[in-house]
Amino acid sequence: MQQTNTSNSASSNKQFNATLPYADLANRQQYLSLISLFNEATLKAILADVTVPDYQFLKPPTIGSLMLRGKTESVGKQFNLGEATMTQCVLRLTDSHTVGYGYVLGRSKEKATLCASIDAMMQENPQALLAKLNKAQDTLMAERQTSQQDVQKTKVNFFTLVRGED
Amino acid sequence: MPLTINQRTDALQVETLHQGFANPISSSELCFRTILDAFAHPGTAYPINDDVAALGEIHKSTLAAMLTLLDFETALYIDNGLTNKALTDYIRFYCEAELVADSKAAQFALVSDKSIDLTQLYAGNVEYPDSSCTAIVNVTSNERLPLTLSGPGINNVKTSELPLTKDFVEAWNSQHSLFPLGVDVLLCFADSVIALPRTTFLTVR
Repeated sequence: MQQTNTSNSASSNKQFNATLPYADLANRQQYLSLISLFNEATLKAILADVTVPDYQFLKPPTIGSLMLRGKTESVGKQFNLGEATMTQCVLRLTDSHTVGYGYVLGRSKEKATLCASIDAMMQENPQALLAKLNKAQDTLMAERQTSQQDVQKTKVNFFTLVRGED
Repeated sequence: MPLTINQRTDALQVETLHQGFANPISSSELCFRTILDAFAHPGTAYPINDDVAALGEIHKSTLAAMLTLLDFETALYIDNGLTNKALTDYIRFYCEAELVADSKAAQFALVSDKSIDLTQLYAGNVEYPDSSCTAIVNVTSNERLPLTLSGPGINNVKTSELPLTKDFVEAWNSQHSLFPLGVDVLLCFADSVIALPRTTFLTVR
C-alpha cells in the first residue's frame, strides 16, 4: 500500500490551477475544464462546421448526483457541503476507437454528449477546434468582465470603527 | 469491513472495452427484479435480460448480474481461472468496484462452477449476517447433479438438476450449522439465473 501511494503521488501532487483564461487549450485538462463552463449553444457553435464522426456510447448520458465536499478555510477537515446534480457521458468513436468523456454539472444530457464529442475530437485532431475554443474562451471572459463591472457599480463599502481595545 | 480507495496504476484500455448495458438504468432495475425473484424462488430458472453481450466465456447473465449488483462500495474477488484484463477493465469502468485478491475480503465473488469453494468465502458475522459474500457462479460445465431442494420459498420439495458437485452439496449443508451466517449463490447460465439462498437444503437424489 505504501508503495502504491508513493508511485501515485507524482501525478496527484501536480496541482491543476483552474483559473481562466487557460493558456494552452491543446492540453486536455485545460480544455475539459473550459468546455464544462460553456452552455449548450456555445458547444454547438464550436461543433457547427465540423463533422462529428459516428460514435457509440460506453456510458449513455445519465443524470446522477455528486457530493460536493469542502474544507473550512481550505485547511480544515473535509465536510459534506451538499449534493449537486451532474450528467456523465462516455462515448467511443466507431472508426478510431478514441474515447471522449463528458462530465458536467447540471441535468443536460445534450451538454454532456457535446462535451464528450469535443473531447474525442480534440484527441484526434486538436487543430480543427483549437481556434474556436480560444475564441469561445475570449467571449466567456468578456461576458464575465461585463457582468463583474455591472456588479461593481453597486458595490458598497462597510467601514468598521476600531474598538478601543488596543 | 473497511474499504480502501482503489489505487491501481495500470491504465484502463477504454479503446477496446466491451459494451455495458445499453440502457443502464432500466436494464439494471429489470435485472435486479429478476435476481430478487430468483432468490425468492430457490432452484427456479429466471431468464435474464439480454441488454449486454457475453465477454469471452463470461455469460451475459453473469455480466448483467455484476453490472446490477456491484458499485463503488462493493469489493469483488475474481477467481484466478476467470480473471483477465478485459474483464477487470470492464468491472472497473462500469461498476467501479474494488477488486480484491483476498476472497475472504470480498462482498461478491465471481467464480466458476468448477472452482467454487464455500470455505474460502466470507460468511458474515453475527452482528451483520447480511455482510456475507454472494457468489456469482459462471456456469460452463454440462454436468448436472440431480438434487432435491427444500426450505423457505419452496412449496414442499422441488427436484432440480444443477451444475454442482457432491463436495459442494456437502459443504453447502455444513454451512447450515453457521446459520444465520452463510454464503448465497447465484448460478448464472448462458441466458438465465438460478439462485440458492443460504436457507435452502440440498439432497442428492
